[in-house]
Amino acid sequence: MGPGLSGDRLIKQKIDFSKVSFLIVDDNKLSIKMVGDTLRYLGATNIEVTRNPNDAIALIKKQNTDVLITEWQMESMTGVEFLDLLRNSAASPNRFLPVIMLTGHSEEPFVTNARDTGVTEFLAKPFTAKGFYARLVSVIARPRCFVNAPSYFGPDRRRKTMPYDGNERRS
Amino acid sequence: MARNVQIIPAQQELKQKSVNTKTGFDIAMTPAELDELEAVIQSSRDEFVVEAAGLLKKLRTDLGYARAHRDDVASFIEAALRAAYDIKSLGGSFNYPLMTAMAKSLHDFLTGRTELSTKQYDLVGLHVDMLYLVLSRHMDGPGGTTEQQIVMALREGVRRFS
Repeated sequence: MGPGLSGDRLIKQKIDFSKVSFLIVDDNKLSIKMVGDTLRYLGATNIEVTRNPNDAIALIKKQNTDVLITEWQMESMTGVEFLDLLRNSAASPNRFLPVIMLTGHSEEPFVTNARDTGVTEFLAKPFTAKGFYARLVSVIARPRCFVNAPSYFGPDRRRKTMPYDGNERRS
Repeated sequence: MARNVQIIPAQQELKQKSVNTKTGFDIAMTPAELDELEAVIQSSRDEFVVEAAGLLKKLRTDLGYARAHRDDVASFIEAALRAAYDIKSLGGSFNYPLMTAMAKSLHDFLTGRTELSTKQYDLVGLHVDMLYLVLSRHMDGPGGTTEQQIVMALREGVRRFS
């Protein structure tokens, strides 16, 4: 029997967003409002906001953030520099923190850079509620293994399970 | 296992405290529920129109000044890049994909630039004028053939004057 199944009846899984604390890091107030309104509609009550990634570190420590939603384009530090700090710095308050990069930099090099720096989910602006909700579900309900390698620390970048029996196969 | 690679099992705490079968929103939302969620985003549409209009007004004023004085062009470009970025990032969320396409064209054109020739100023001005047109006439949606040709013409201008 698979998860969520009971006999022949499908039990719907839900997310109680009131149990999840969010941090939004963005310097566009309308974007902050759109994300904040959506989270509040979903029932989230613990939502912190900052325009400055440097302040975000202290906020993550203070409120024990569960999910970080960050822009790439910010003045004091880019979102990917912030992500790098979070994943790889000794000063990081939580190297495993789920991070959604919500950004207008949607071109392929940005996506690749974010992925290789350890982003959990990437969503290009302009965004829709459907796309945003799918990223929330992914980071909350489908946590991924982390990979700790000399050149990478972050969520497993492999999205599909492919059969492989070579010498370098991970156990 | 590959050498020097450690696989750390997924953290389950967040899932355990928030995923359940009784309270909250279904993981698989119905189309109707997604429509209601989308309506939350759309409630900011008027604010986007006001913000975009403000950005374009300032961009037009700054452009006139920068073109006339030709000093501190880098600051003008930096501010224009930010305005273009904000419009391209948000336009499509409010069914203004033409604004996103035009603002992306402007952003692409200005990226990496530190100076502007007279024709390049004209091209920036053309982008601003077209963005104004779309916003002032409430031209939402992808537009027809004419609108698409305008976007293509802007992109061609970017290619030609880069």
